[in-house]
Amino acid sequence: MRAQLLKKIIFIFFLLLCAACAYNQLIKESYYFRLSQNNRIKLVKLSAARGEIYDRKGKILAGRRLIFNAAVLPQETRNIEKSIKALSPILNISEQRLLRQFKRNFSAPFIPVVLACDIPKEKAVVLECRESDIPGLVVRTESLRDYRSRRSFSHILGYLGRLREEELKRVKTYGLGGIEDLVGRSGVEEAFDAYLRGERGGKQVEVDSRGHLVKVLGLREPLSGEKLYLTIDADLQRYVEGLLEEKKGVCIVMDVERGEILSMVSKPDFDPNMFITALNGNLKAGRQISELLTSKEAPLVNRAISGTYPPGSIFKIVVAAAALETGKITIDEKFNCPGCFKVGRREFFCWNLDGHGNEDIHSALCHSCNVFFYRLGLAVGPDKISSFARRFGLGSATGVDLPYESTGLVPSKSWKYKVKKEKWYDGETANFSIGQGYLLVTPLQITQLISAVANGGYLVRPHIVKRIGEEEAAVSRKKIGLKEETLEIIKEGMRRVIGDERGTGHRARIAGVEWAAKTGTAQALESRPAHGWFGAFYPFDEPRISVLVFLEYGGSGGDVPAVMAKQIVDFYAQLQ
Amino acid sequence: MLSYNRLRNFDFALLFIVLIIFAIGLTFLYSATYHHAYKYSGSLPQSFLLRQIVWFMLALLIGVVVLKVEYQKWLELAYPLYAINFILLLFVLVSGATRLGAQRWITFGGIAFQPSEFSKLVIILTLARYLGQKENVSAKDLIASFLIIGLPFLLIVKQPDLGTALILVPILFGVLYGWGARLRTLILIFLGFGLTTPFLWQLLKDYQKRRILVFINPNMDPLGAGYTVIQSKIAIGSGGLLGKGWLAGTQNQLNFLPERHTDFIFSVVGEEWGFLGATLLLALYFALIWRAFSCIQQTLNSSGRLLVYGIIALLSFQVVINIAMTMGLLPVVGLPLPLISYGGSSLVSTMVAVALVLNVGMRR
Repeated sequence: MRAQLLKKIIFIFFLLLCAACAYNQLIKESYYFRLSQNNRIKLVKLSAARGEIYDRKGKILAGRRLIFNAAVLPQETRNIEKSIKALSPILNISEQRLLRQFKRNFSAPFIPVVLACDIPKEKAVVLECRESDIPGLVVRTESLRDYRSRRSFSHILGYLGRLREEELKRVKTYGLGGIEDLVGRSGVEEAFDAYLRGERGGKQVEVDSRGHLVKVLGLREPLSGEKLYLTIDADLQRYVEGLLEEKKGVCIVMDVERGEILSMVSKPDFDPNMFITALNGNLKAGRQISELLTSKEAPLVNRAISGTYPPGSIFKIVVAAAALETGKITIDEKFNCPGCFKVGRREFFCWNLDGHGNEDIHSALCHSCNVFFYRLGLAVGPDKISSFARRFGLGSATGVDLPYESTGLVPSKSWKYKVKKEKWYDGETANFSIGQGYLLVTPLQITQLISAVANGGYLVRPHIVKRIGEEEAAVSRKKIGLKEETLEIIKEGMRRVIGDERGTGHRARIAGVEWAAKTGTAQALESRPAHGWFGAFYPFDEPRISVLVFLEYGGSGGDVPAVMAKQIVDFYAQLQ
Repeated sequence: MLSYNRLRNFDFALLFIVLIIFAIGLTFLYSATYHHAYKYSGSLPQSFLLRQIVWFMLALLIGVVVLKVEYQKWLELAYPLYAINFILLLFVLVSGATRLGAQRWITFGGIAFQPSEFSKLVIILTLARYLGQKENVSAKDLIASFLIIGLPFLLIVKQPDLGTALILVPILFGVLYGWGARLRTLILIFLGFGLTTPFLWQLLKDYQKRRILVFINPNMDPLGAGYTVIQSKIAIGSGGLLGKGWLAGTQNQLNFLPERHTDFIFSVVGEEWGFLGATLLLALYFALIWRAFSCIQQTLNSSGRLLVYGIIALLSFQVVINIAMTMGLLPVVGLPLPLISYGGSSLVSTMVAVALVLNVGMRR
């Protein structure tokens, strides 16, 4: 019978369907079940709030800001053009740009693609209402680092960036996960990253096909990062930053006893918020950053700790100390300065070509007489100068709690032989004695050196973090081992730099208060003005702070730097 | 009034099976549109349910009308109906409403319906009428039946409504087989059909070509055309033996399964009622087919028998293709699951088909 056969054929088809069901539902059940669970159960990483950074008085320097982002979930929208068309007028961004943004940021169907970052709150509300009729649209909030102080603290604070590929493996051991993790770059953000970052939590949630939360299945709270209190005084920092303005250079104010850095400004600088904006794919910020990176002015470099320069006459403090300690000169001994000095066949000039006449150690420091120090240097010898320079902390890192500190360079006979394969000449000793030649220092090293003179011969480790959470940072200091008499002589010389009418730093004079300083004017390039240095401590009796002003190609140290240092001290005195 | 004799011959079991399948359909239509349905489509599940019930009432009413008139009368009307249907199909092509890239609907008094749904029945009637008069199998009649089906087939492909066009093929073969054509001849013709595929390929719209390509490899486009099939397989497979429970299918309730209240409703059954539910449904469908076969055995009128052959082919292959498609065994062609998928045209045409079978069985 024909019908019977057809019935059998149809029956076989139905049996095949049953078999297919059995295969999918019985044999491969666990596989598909896992896939369905993967669909609906998502592990949401809960990023820990990064610790805030405050100044020494508890003013906030780096906090958090909540922003709204408009994103689309690719798997929810079949027609991305249509969604973009609807979004374009609300976001006020052209369709082409949104589409480009989408293509550029697309990574996987189930990962929302951010189309617009940091949209105004009102727009976010409008978009949230339209989530149901614009396919795939999701409005998400994100907590961003916010540097309230903008430029003033750029080098101190640093900024945040994404982990680089090669860093990923290295940091895995610290419990950092993926490329979306942010790490501190430069400044305190980098140096104290481990404290600031906290510990990430997680949430197991059930989501629908749009990624919307249906219910929470499990939760591990994130641990916020530690709060950081800096030694910086925000008011002083802002004032000093305003003082430097467009000039290129460094200002440092440091507590001479404890090594607490009250202010540290390096110019040119940058706005760290730009890096935060760029993280979300803001093209303009990205361009600005690449400008920063390629700029000849190197605005990202913290000149206070990473820039190395010849110190010029400030170095005479070291030479004086070496000569006094080794007995090459006494307090009463005088040298004549005719304005020029002959070493071998070469003539070395004093900055005052008319000559200073008869100078003792006090007046030589006061007038910064080159000839006096040529003779002193030659008497002491280069290796002894080097060893005293090292005792004052030059040639090695100060150990400040900031990354990328330079060591500078203190030359010696053996150093020259090793590196240049040449013997040391006496002419080089002359140059060395006035802080020129191979010698290179960082502004912070000089601050440390001045502080050591002021605090009775202790090399204190400069630091910028006062307190991590509840834990106070330790002060570390070590004795240089100079005679008290030596220090007294140098201090007196430095007092006269400001106090004496012919002192090189006389412009820094403050009526009614005595303080001390040493100027420096260091030749760097023939074609450009000298670097100007002014290193001071205040007040003369019982010194509290050291002030360093350094202007790159800023001319004579006794001119602009001296005046700026005076203004800083004036402001500091007002604050007290 | 129907006479006692007719009523005695009425196949209550068949009607009962239909009602059970429809009830299961309503159950899963509720689940497929439950809770989150509101969130995504803005309509309450009750409104889907209500509309489906109203359509079913209407379909029952039409079914009663179809039943009251002798099926021989319907067969006599076959040629004019065929002509009207042909005109309607042309009309759809010219001025039909476009939905989802296809012109399938015409609006009639505020109600949109798909003429192609009714083409299936009209073609079955026409074939039954034409071939029922021929005693012996002849090449001429074979070619004539190909023409009968070929013209509307092309128009429907052009719309394009691949699912309906595809279902015409088993209808033709079912009726020809019932007529007495040799199995070998039919297989040869079927293979001949295969040769025309490159030509048909040209007629397909881009989205259909993509669907077929994606059918071959769903991961080619996991978000576009392949997404539905992947999610549907996950839904069915994750149901396991007993299912996740009614209203508890995560693929369904969390909106991972598109078109779950229409073409992909079987996936919801598979997920929430598991293997047992799926096979139960298959068994019910087969019982329905089985009842139709017993009608053939009891009917002497050859046109009547051919009519039932066509309807058997229609219903069984609609079920087979739809379910095979939800498991990724056939390309997604857009064919509803009879009596279960949401949609008025499909409900009405299925009920008319059932009524015709009952009609033949009653007047054997």
